Amino acid sequence: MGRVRGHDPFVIEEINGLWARGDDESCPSDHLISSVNVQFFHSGVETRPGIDVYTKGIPLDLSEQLRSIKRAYTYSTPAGQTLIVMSEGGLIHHVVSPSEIYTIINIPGADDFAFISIAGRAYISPFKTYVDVAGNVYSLGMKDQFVWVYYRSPTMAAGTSNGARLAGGPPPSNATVTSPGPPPVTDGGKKFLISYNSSKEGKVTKGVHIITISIDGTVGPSDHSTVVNAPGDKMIEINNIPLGGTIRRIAMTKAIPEDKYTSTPTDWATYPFFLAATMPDAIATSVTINLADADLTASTWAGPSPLTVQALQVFNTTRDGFVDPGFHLVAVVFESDSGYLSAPGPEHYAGNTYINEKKSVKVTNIPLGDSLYAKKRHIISTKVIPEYNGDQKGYQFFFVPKATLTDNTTTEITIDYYDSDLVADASHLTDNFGKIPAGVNFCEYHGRLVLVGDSSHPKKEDGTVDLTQPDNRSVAYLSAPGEPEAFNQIDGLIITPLDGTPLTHCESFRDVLYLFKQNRTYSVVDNEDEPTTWGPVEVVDQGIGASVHGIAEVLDSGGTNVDYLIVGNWSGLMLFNGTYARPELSWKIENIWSKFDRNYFQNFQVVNDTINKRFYILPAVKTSDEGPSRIIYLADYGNGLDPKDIRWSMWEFTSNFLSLRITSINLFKVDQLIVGSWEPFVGITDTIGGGLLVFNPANHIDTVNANLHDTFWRRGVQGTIEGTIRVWLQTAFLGG
Amino acid sequence: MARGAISSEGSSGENIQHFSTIRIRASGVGNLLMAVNALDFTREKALAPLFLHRSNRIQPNRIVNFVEQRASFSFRTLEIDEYIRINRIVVYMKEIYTSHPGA
Repeated sequence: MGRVRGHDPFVIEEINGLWARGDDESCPSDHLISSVNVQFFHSGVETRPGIDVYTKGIPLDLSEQLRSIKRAYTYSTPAGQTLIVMSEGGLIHHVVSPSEIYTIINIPGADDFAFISIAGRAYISPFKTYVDVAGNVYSLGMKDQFVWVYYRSPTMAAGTSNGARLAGGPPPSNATVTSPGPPPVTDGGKKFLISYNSSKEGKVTKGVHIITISIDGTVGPSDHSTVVNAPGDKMIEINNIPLGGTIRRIAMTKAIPEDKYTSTPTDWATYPFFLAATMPDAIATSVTINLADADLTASTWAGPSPLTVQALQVFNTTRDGFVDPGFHLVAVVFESDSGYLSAPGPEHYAGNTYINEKKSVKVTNIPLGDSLYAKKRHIISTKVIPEYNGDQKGYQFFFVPKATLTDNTTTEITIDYYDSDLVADASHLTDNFGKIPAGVNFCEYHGRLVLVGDSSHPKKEDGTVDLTQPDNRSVAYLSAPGEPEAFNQIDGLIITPLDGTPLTHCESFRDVLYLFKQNRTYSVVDNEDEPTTWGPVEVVDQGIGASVHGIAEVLDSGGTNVDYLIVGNWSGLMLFNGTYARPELSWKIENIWSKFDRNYFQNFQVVNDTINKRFYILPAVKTSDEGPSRIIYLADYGNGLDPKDIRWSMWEFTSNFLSLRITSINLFKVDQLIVGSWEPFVGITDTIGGGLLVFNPANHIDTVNANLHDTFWRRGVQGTIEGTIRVWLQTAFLGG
Repeated sequence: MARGAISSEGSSGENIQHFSTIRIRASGVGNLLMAVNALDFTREKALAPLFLHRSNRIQPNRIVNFVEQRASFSFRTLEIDEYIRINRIVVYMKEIYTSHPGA
């Protein structure tokens, strides 16, 4: 090799990026002690691209809202890729284009949010960072907050907006009757009298008995009655007897032959009512009748009283149709615009005995729903219940065919169905969350939406919160397959070991669901039954886990790569292929990684640009700190996804006039890196275009527009702030 | 014989070197500021900047003239809209002493 004036050449042919492991002298000659603001090409380095404002041209008021960004995600919609962004104050925006932005939710106090896009809908869960008594920082779903769902139709005109709504939805509920006339009704008119044959042997005469109530001497109207088709050797149970009044009595007809019962008011005129029971106190709401017709001797009362009853009711009708005779329970299920099916409602289901197999039945007082949420209402029913036990939730419900209301105004429907028509099961809806508690992360697994990091506490049997139990931080909720808003509270969950640390992440990988805590990794496998039966949660690693943004999202898709996960944690940046591969991918920069603040791993984030073979990493530091939080680490794996071949560089955003604090990174439109920044300038009170920035390969300047108000600047001048990209390369210590 | 860093290439004895010249294959826009540093950055010497061209048939030299056991070279751009692209660095060095006097 050629010498110069007797000096030997030392040739650095490859420049393999930053080395921050051990002392500076241990840096190999093909590495750099300092590698600032460069990216890599084969064997060399060049200045990184500059950044620019993404949301140019938006109004100043929106610009101010977007000035400080907490988190940004890529939101794939049927119309193309957009962004969902949380800004300071908990405002969440849909950034359709650089100049078209809509504020969709305001969740004051939210620190961050989880996001997933399913079938074009955005599911959003706000979460917060908390500090325990030992000073440990952790993230959990925001207390008393819930998962939201958002969808913007591609046909919606620009400039018009619809906000997000709470995911899931409450079960149907009937309005409360504020001034019911006599006889009074229980639970604000929502509870309706139910009578049925008892399992106890008795002597009630065979035939149809109409049963109603009498308060203080008046008898209820025909629409406040119920019927029982007694077999002749049983008692009759009566539930939901209204409270109120001084004297409450049960009135009942003698047995009506099945072929004589018409289910019309004519029956009331034809068949007199007799005293069947007098309620012994002002508390009881149920009674058992064991009277033969011969025992019914007490006289009737005057005509019916007016009454408004809002309770769901089902009646026999005179319309020709078909049903299976016998006692049935009937309820209502709402369906939302996203296909979510609510828990059945209202609070008290309708129950009655179908008498004539050749007649239809009529369901009345069907609850209306919130117009933003309830797009359809379905009637569900049990099959014949031979011996009803009074527990309305103890039976299997099915969707009744052709019993769907597609409007939100109709309150009654006449239907026909045989029990053999009841195929589509609705029982799993009974225990659905009406509102899904907020968590810290989502993923999809076998068509189910998975949610982890709930901060709420379990409920007691009466539905109230049980604060004596640990919160749900170790619980993963799984929706019904294909129904991302239907989370069953009873069997739609998996419990990981209760070690006091919360679940932070979840990912589906090679047909296994992995659940992560900060320093734990668990796995569980679908057995095609309900999640609670999925068998023991296997421990994958007792020392390595992931933080809330600690698993690399791949390009603009989110989630896993084809054959590995990239996981950032206290140990380093790890390749996970079922086990964590060592040495860690961040082996070369261990000095830097070991200085990451363990209490701020919620700020750590990694994304995987598989097109350009790069990881972009936000360090685990307090975002208000000077210095490190203004850095993105570049890990270029163009030479191989191996700890020894990855080339590292630090991208700084602190120069003459710019001082960006980076809070969020995400890849957009395949491999475009979007950066969320927090208060982009020091000493400048306004920005135009906000803190949502994008890398522009054509630029060698960091450019942000600003409205200059500081006395240091010319007051009130709007202009462009240009920041220098300062490159600093420092070779290894060469010598003999 | 000149060697690189200790960990990968090993040490040939840490004798005192004379770093005479640096030659860089660099292109771009602006001025490439260069310096050479002794161990622990206890001593620094600025080198003449390199004016960058977008294309250049010449790999320019800069005189270093720096005597140390080991030396690290820095390359910086500090001005707005500068751009640099480097893919080869050649450092010429020669062992001139075995040790410092009395050291």
